[in-house]
Amino acid sequence: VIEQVAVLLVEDDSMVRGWVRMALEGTEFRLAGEAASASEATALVARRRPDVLLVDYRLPDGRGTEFVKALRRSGVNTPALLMTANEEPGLNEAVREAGAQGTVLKTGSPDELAESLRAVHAGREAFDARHPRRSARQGALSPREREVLGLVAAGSTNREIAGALGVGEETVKTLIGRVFVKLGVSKRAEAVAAAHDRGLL
Amino acid sequence: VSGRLSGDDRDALAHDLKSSLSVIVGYAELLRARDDETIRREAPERILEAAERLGLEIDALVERLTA
Repeated sequence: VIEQVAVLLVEDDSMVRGWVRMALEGTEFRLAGEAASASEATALVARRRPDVLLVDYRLPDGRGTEFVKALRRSGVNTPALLMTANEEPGLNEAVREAGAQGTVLKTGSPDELAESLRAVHAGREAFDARHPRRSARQGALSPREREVLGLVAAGSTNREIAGALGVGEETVKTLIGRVFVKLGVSKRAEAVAAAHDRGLL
Repeated sequence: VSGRLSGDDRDALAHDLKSSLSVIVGYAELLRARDDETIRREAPERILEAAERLGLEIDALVERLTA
């Protein structure tokens, strides 16, 4: 008798959920539940106690990495595999830093999905090498830039940041500009999201 | 496109388009990998649905870029 492994699927796209259901048919994996958002999934994890989590990276209420981080903070150590439709630079690093065990592409074969689930369930890692590695430039924020980014994430205005750091507002603008360039973003909210993804905050 | 959309919009757009595409590729992979009656019956329907959605997403993108 093959041991059944309970998978909780967290994916907002019903078409992708349908594909996962069909792809896992005939394998040892059975869906213990489906959630369309991180908040739904949090409740289901507690109720269904799945063996493995299969989580979309882009959920309507946040990144899959944030969801996994929150679970780890609350003591849930269920192995997690993050799914994306795109190859994303630095994703494997961000996923590992969030405390998940692997990544899988939605455009892969059903066998790849099952193999990746098998690996993380067995306590191994399964990071898809098609995601380009994080470039050195991506994570190389100076301590001062990280400090500014932390204050931006806390919702501080430039004036408040200037006051907190004892520098002028122009200096703050310069530091934020450098952070934007290094993270490849153009807005404060994007910088905060990118920093969370890369484990910089 | 990069000049007209913010980073967040670009990411969301790429995600939506690739998500539909991944459904098409995913079901095609299933058809190739499994000799199963249910898959033979359902996969073409799901592929057509995803292709239709992808078409609508592309139409919306073109409209947005040419508005």
